[in-house]
Amino acid sequence: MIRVKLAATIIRRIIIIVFAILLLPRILTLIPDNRGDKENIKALEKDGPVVKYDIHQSMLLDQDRFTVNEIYSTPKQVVLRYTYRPKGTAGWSLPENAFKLYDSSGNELRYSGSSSSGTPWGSTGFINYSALIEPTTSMRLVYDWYDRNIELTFPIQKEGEEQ
Amino acid sequence: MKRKTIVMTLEWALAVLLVFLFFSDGPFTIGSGSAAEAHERSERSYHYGPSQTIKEIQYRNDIVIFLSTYKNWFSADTSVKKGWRWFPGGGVGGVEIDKSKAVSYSWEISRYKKERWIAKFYGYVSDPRITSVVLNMDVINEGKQTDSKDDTQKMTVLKQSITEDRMFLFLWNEAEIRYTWKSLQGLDSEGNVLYEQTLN
Repeated sequence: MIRVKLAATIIRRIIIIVFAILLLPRILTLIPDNRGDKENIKALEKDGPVVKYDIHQSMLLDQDRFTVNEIYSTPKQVVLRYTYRPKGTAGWSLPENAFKLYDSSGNELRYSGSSSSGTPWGSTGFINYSALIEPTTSMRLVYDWYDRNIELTFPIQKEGEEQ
Repeated sequence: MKRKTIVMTLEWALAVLLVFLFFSDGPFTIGSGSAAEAHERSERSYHYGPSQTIKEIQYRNDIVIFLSTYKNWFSADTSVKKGWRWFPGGGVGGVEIDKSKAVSYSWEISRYKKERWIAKFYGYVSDPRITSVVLNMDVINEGKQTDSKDDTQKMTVLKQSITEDRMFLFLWNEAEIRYTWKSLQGLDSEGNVLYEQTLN
């Protein structure tokens, strides 16, 4: 009887140790890493005065939630900070260049690049566009990807702090 | 004795929980249970499709290619088995079918595991008169044993018949045999060349 108990204890603890080790790498990837975000925003100041617009509006890309957090406008570029929360387990990353941005007069701001950091829960990142050519009251973001054509229009109001 | 029982129960609970987390679907899970599931998830997360699978091609026991069409696009999405789980292996995005051309094609070479470079050359035939496609190639080398093979065997062709599904796939392992692509031809049932595209 004691032997059976001992064997059960050993098996139990082996299971705990082995599976804890197996799960460890997955748990580590769940820790978000947003260290770069603040530095990216800070780096925009090199362009000149930065105007920040708080947006916080979402749209659904199929079942995956895409949120526009803020828009940063500098003399040289417009930068969109987003959060992406796909439904279910992780898959392909977002094709950032499929996002087209227009001002209220319909001028397209040219996509110039993007950066992102992710976890299995989703990702956060920046999409860079060319600078505004004229003041705008709203912006229209279009996800133009295969047969998907998903739009989000949001007002551009100066409630964010000027720097 | 009572305390011992509590500790033992807690340890069992922890063991069961860890095993459950490892095998269950959730943020702790990686991969899919089947090749088809990995393919579906791949398309869903890519915001493409769901496509209609026309042919499923199994390569060895750990690669499955889904030749599919979706609206005006075709694709050759690949699921790869690593361990006992299936993962997306590239080729998910569709290529547009150019109706003005007899044949629309695409290709992709991806590395799976150490010594396998899987080359996919695939396409969609719009011209209904074409009954076979031929990929003309020169053999650069045949794997590692590249010694005195006679030079006359250098030119080679891969040929595939086209059925109602209108799709084709040439599949080979670049680590075993390497080619320079010469041309892609579409032939009718009498062997006349109706379409030719030089490659390279």
